[in-house]
Amino acid sequence: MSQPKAAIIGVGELKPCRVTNGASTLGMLAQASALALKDAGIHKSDIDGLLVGPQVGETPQHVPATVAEYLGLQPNMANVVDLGGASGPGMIWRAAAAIEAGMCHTVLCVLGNHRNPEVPRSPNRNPIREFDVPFGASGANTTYAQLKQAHMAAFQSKDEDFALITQWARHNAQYHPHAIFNGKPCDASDVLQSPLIAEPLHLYEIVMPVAGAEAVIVTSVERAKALNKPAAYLMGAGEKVTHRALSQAPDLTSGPLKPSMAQAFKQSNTSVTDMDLLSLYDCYSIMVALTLEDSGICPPGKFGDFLRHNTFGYDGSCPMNTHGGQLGFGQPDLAGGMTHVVEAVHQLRETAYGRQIRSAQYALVTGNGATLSEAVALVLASEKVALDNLGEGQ
Amino acid sequence: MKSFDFAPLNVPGPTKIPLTEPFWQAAANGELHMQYCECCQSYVFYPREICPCCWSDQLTWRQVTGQATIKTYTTIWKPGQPGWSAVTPYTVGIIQLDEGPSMLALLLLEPEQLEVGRAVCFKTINIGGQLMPAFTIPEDNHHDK
Repeated sequence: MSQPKAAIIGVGELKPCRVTNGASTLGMLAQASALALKDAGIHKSDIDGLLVGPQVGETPQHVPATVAEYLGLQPNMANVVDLGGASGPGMIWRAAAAIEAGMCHTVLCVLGNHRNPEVPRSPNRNPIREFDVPFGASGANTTYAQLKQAHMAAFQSKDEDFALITQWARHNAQYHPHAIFNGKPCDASDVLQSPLIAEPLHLYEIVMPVAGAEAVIVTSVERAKALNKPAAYLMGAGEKVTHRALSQAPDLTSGPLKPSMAQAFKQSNTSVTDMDLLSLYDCYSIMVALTLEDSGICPPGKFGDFLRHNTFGYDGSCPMNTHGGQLGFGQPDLAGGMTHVVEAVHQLRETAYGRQIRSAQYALVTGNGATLSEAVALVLASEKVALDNLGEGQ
Repeated sequence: MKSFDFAPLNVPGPTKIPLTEPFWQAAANGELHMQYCECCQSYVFYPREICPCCWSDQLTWRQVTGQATIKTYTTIWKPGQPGWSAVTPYTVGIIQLDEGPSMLALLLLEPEQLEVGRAVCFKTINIGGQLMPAFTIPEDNHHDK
């Protein structure tokens, strides 16, 4: 049996919104952090580690010091995790590693962004700016449209297959009061009738950008056990970075999540069929298709059959993205990847009110950044499973 | 054959540096040039100070055939860069050169000609005053000047 590496003792999440007026990223990070601290039931002075994300525009450099100062923290370990949508899950194992290394014992991991009217444009001066942008290939829609096209060409997958991914995300969003599409379900035909943005991607296959923030507090197994409330436990992790621009990708129909998930399963001595929740990064419909196939839960090219033969609600045969995923919940910038961690924690400690999976023991969380480039996979477990593995559950 | 006129566009051009200048100079002359690693004998794209395969700095410039295959593509209706809205829908894709490397470029094909695996060839086009590589069907080999 594998041993838990660390515990997640608190989560905080701001309700996504489409527009903010004059909000600061720092302010939103602080609000989410305060919610996570309250949820954990610990004192601010217990936090001695800080992981943050890059902030285009507001704080281009010295992000950890700026966030720490704003929050009145003086951490013993502080760093930026810059893995795009994989940053959130990437923070969790880094927090565990820093604790294991003796650098700190309790780490605040926080991501978020506002959506004020003036959007800072990335000041890139690097190869992707020189060799992609000048060809009219700006932004992620172009990339993921090309990945969907490659999948359709390789496997004859159909638009109707991909539309089911959004249909289930919107279905699950009806059970999360904060989801941006709560009150707005849609079916596969609505997806296919939504406008083409970058062929073959339709509007409803693309996440809705929102303002928001997500905070997670990670501590040692020993400290978590001493607290009087259930935690979720990190059992295994995997990470892989393969390229930056899609033209440099080693493969267009399989990504770096494949080895990442394999390593997370190996470390936790589990397999994908042990998972009670799939909390899969879903910036686009194609990302879920690739992740299902790379996880081994269905063969390459067969995600459509898999979707048709299962149900993906909290009470379904294969609960997936029970918060609505980012396709249903909204994508609060880099915090989007952290929504998948927060939902997994809620399910594993049975605080997913109104959408609770029955006796969930294991969750797979994935993060994906850039152009199918940056991948992190986590296997999280309930307190019962983690303490059983420690030999202390009986 | 539909004509593609990207010359009037007001869009961001390439952020050239001295290292990459030979690539852009060649494109302006209707040729496609790539770095070649004399050590591991493979072509390198995009241009680098060292070969990403073997880390040798023995990189020289060579002209390549411009013969390539479409790996994937997308036709864009809502561009990420607003300056491109004037020419929607337009198509970009990733092509693999016969010499090995892959690159992103505009694809100047009719919708019914777009297909993964299709053979295409290099031509130079004018995008907003900058002469840039693009790929098209082999019969259409007229370079913009």
